[in-house]
Amino acid sequence: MSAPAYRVIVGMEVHLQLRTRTKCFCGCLAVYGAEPNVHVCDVCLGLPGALPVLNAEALRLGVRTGLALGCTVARRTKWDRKNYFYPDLPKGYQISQYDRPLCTDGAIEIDGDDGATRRVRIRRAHLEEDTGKSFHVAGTKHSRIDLNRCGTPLLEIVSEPDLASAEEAGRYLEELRRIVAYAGTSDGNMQEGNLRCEPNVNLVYENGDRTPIVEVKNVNSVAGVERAIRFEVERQDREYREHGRTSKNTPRSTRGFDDTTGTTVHQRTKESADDYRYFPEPDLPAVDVDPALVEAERASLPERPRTRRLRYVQALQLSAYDAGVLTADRRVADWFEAALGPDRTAKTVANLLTGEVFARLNAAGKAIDAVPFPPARLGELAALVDGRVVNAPTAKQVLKLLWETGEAPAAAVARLGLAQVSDPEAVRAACEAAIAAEPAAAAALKAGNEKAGGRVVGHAMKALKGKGDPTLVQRTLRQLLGLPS
Amino acid sequence: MHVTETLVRHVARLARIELSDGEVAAMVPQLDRILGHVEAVANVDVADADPASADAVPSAALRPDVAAPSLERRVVLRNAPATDQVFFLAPKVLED
Repeated sequence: MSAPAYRVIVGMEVHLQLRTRTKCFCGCLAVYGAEPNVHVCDVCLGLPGALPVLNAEALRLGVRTGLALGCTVARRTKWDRKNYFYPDLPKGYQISQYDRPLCTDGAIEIDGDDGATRRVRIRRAHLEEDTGKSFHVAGTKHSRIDLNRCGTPLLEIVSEPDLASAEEAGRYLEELRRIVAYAGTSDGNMQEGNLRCEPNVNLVYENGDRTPIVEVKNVNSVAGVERAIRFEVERQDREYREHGRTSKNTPRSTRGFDDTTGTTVHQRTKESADDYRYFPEPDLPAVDVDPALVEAERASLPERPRTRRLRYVQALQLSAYDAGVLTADRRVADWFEAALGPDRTAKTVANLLTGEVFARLNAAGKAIDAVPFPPARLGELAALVDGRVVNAPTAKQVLKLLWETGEAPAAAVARLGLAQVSDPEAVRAACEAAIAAEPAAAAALKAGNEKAGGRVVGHAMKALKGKGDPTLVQRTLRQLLGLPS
Repeated sequence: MHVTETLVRHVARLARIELSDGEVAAMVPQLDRILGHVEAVANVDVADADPASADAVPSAALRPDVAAPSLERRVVLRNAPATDQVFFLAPKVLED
């Protein structure tokens, strides 16, 4: 009997740190990597009498992120206390939003496993404050607590369970990260904990049985999310087949992901809904979100990264790969578009940018803003390539000059006489000389060995000082050898 | 609302308060009476009231994102029962 078929169902909870200077409810700096417990005040500590005051920038970035995710922004939003005890939460409650979240009903699009566009719905995105950090020191009975992160503004983004595999969950996370980076609302750096995620995973079988939902914690990378979900899928299927565990006889649970083993470990069982005793935060008034703010943010949102990527493929005829590379970082895509023009193809600009320019940036460990010349200059070089004024090796030489001295491409070509040799007579003479000098290779080429022809082409190009028009050289050689062109 | 021993134990656990069986038994009638008083509030007609409307502030009037001084670490840690002068020290948390 074959194993019963199932569908994988994944929903994602993402906590995103918003890029503010100060914390959500006090003026302490919200920075990563500081000395422990130096960005802490009476509000962070929850001392008696300390009162939180909402940071306008946290609200603005929450609104902007919500709009980037296609959400509706609430006209009025309010604050609630989520009560629980943990050493990294000194107040004994987290200021969050329960029944009046800032943003609701959004969606983002990703590539589904079937190749079609998959729309992943966003149920809600609400503001809340981050907790401090605990470090469990092996071999002691204590945890060390650093409260610098306490009160950093977070947007909790809750998706509907619209993801059907580990890979789709990974793509959702990548897309979310690109969207917030494009919108400029968060660094979205998973290593530094700007973006943290908790996948919810379960399986549905053809007979209607469902495995109990498992929430996975401690996932710190996109690869980790995918591994955690794959592990859960296998584990839950085994538990179902071997022990008949379903949502009817087994409670939901929380499991922690162990990155070193790629496994999840049971943390706790949720016998009933968590009892957080939410109630309205008496220390913070509700906020009426200014419609002018919402419209200003909406108007200034950039094109979504996925829309841009698809546009590069459809309108600019770039490969899916090039489009992906160019749109991964908004600054790169902006730079690329600034280099485009009517006398050059997008493909040539993309080749020069992702080839020579990226190679130089990577070698120096620099980002796109370190390119020492404006994008239009690269566009001028692309125009020379497309106009067959220079060939590829010469373009490389011109780019080197542009990079090191800032000399404009056309000026460098004129000054150094680098223009491609397209004079049929000169090319013919060089090709004749090459055939005479490489008789064996020429014979092999004539016999159909294209590879052997490289020696003849090389010889001809050398005679043309590397500036021969490669297409013309090829065509001329074939004519001289009586081959079809 | 009718207070039961189960409810008292549940609330005590959430609040991390240890109660003896005798204390639990004593709490039941006391809490019941307190809730009885509070229930008077439930009789107020609030059909037209928006709980978020009492004192809503416009978003334009919020705190600007400008840094204010934090406390010195020495002061931050001063009231803590245990520190190593850098971190708070807390008993290691065991998941239940």
